[in-house]
Amino acid sequence: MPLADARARVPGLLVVQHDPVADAAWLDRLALGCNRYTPLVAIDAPDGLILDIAGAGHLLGGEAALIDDLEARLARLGMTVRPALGPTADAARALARYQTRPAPDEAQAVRRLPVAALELDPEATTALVRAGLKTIGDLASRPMANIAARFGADAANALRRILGDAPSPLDPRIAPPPVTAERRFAEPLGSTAHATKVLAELVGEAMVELGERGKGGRHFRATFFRSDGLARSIAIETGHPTRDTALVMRLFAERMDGLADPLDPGFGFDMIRLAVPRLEALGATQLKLEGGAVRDAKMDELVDRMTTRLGRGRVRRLIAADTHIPEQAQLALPAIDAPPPEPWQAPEPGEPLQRVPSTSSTRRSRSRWSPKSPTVRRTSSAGGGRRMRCAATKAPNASPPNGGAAATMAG
Amino acid sequence: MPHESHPHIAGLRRRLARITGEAAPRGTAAGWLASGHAGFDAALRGGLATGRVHEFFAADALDATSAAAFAALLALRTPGPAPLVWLRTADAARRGGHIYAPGIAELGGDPDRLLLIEAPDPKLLLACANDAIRCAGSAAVIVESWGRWPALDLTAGRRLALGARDAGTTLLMLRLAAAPSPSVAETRWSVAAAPSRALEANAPGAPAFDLELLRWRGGAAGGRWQLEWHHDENAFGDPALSGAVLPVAARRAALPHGAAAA
Repeated sequence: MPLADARARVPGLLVVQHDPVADAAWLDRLALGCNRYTPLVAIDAPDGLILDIAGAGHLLGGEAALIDDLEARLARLGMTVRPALGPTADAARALARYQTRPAPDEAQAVRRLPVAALELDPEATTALVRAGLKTIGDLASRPMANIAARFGADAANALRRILGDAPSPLDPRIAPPPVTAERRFAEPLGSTAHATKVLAELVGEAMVELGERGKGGRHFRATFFRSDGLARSIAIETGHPTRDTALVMRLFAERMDGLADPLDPGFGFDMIRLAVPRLEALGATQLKLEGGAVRDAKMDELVDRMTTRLGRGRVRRLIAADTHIPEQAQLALPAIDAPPPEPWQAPEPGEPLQRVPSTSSTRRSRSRWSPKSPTVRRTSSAGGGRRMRCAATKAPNASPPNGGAAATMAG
Repeated sequence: MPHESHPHIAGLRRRLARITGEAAPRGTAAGWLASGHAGFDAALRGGLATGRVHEFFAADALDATSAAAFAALLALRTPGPAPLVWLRTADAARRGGHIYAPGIAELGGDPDRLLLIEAPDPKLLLACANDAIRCAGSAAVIVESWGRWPALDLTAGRRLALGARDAGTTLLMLRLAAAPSPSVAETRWSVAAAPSRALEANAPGAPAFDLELLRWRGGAAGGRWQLEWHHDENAFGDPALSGAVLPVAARRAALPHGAAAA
């Protein structure tokens, strides 16, 4: 509708220039706000938000209550929203944008959506409608291979995603901006050795950026894009944040040597990208001046190398678990990100157990530990030996750990 | 200096050391893994030399735990937080059992110092051992292997020994269910479990070890000891006499007599 028509219909219409940047910034703020419901909030530009509320609905008393709360909060900001719940992100998005007819349940609602919900290009949508396939349900009743052959792989993929047969991953708003470095080649690289050299340069660039941010990388992922469209990803991780190019390249070399099927350039790599998905703070240090730190760094490097070569689960440290069940008393966790060690409970030297003679006619007696710990445990005479409750059957509000495994002693 | 059986051999060794460019002549170790038992340590002139390879054979298939415990306790006796790197194959847990941290804590060791590395096969175990010994800063590296280990030939053994000497790490090879064979190890031991003396009320007593020195590059072999681990003192000691069990008379370690003969 032209502006003149609108002005003719509504006298005194307030007209504001469209500002997409301001809209995006506003949507960003709304997304930040929606983090109160779930950490996984994705922006569906230009005017949508997708919230992954799996496992988060019960915190507000159910999904319906969550939606009421969300609508109320956004109404206070002057926003009118059109919420929809779906089994997958794509289904929820399609229901929010295209639902016109009510349906008894989510699956039926998705099947009653018009084919426009697939958001194919206009020609394909028109072709689908002309073929008599007006709803998603019509399309889903046809064999997937025919749809892919007639309307393209995109249509089949979109249909699978909307029906929940294919994953529709979210791109969360609050993912930390990872450091990336990439290089494209006009002439594809034919040799892996050359590609490794380029990777070393990329690692060097990423390290400079990490240094400017005062961070070190924990995960590094190199993706080699082949000119025929395939890509191969190789990832390494380190036990401690690092900015050491040589160390990272040694780990990459270790990983490439250990690959079951080696990196195959095929017709050549036309792009190499290095991503650092996980950063941690790392100040500038001078290891040689801090005696002892050099040796620690060597052990850390051993852990990194062994983990890269053998896998996370094969290089482990033993961590104490808070249980009295002997076979569960230790956890073997990957050494590369095991929690800092806590001192193990060495067995206390035995304390004498005194017997307090029973005074009444009942067959109850009391046992007492040494006077240092004035705990008196009243025990029944009919008890057996030690009894332990299995951790799996322990109620969430059961007695504290010590009480849970208190010994009952025969009097 | 090591006591050689003949002065010519000592001279030849010195010449060899000059040719191969060895920084320190053989026999001078930077330190020792001492047992805490005065007689044992004195017979070995301080204990098991660090920066060397030591082999522990289980006298019987059932003595595997004793051999492992003896090696681990020697390493965990050393003060400080230096880690003990323990390499084993993935099937070792099935054959010899899992390493149980609360048990190590009860023995007086610190399980936080353990770094467990499991290699999928013996070939990779050797490669990992080569990397682990070249990493200075560990209290010791224990390599646990079961059965014959064809990959560990004399060349591989020599490489391990050189790596350990250069980095100054001690390599304790646990050869379980295997027969002693020629190697470049500094010492070679046969470890068996000895009967322990029961405590009051027939409670299980302190673990006891029956040790036999099969080979020693620095002196004569043939020593035999019975040691008992005292976890309160964090040291090995003499086993207490028991009425029920006749103590094996510990043969005095044969004193090196090469120097006297020369």
